[in-house]
Amino acid sequence: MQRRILIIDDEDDIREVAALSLETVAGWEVLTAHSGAAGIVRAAEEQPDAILLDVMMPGMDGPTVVQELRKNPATQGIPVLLLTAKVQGADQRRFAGLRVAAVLLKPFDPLTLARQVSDALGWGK
Amino acid sequence: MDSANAQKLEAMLRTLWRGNQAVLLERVELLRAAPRDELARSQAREAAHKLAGVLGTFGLPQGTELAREAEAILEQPIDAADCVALAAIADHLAAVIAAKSNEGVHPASPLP
Repeated sequence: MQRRILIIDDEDDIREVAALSLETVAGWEVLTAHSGAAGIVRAAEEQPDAILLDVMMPGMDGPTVVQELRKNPATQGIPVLLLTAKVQGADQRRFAGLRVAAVLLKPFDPLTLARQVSDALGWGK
Repeated sequence: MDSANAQKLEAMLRTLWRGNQAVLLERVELLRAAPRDELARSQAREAAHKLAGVLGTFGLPQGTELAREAEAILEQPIDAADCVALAAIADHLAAVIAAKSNEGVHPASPLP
């Protein structure tokens, strides 16, 4: 079964590298969105198997996107993995309350990103 | 992952690297621009944060470390000494990026 992953990140280069990585290494279908608002719409439309979500974005940040996804029955069950370049004490407490599947750190290794996602979600077990 | 897929990924990453260099160097220049007012400092901090998040992914963990140093400086209002430090970091980042451009892209392990 081919997995479908939605990547939500305002940075073009991160979206491109992550998409390349997941498509090439894992053979997953990758969808992308350049903002939190666009990502929420895409998630409801496409019903991906998981969402890789940047934390720091202009407008609607990652944690806010998670809260909005949880409000919609169509998206509340989609596992979310946060992607962030920095995790401080206050961030950790905020992330813990979001009940996300994992918090992945940037920079990520394109060769192992798919394995990190699979391991976090229990895919392939 | 087999070696054919790894080579294919590396080739694609090299292409992406070439396409993204201009944006990366623009972000470096924001660090060099002595961001004294609040808006400029905020923009420079965001640029440093983005550089920290992406350079290691392109196989430049040293670039990530430098960007994190800049981000830490930019967390607070900066003085003249900070401006000098940021300019030095920007010079170093530009050199690291230029050096990588001559080598190609090698995916690196993420920093601890």
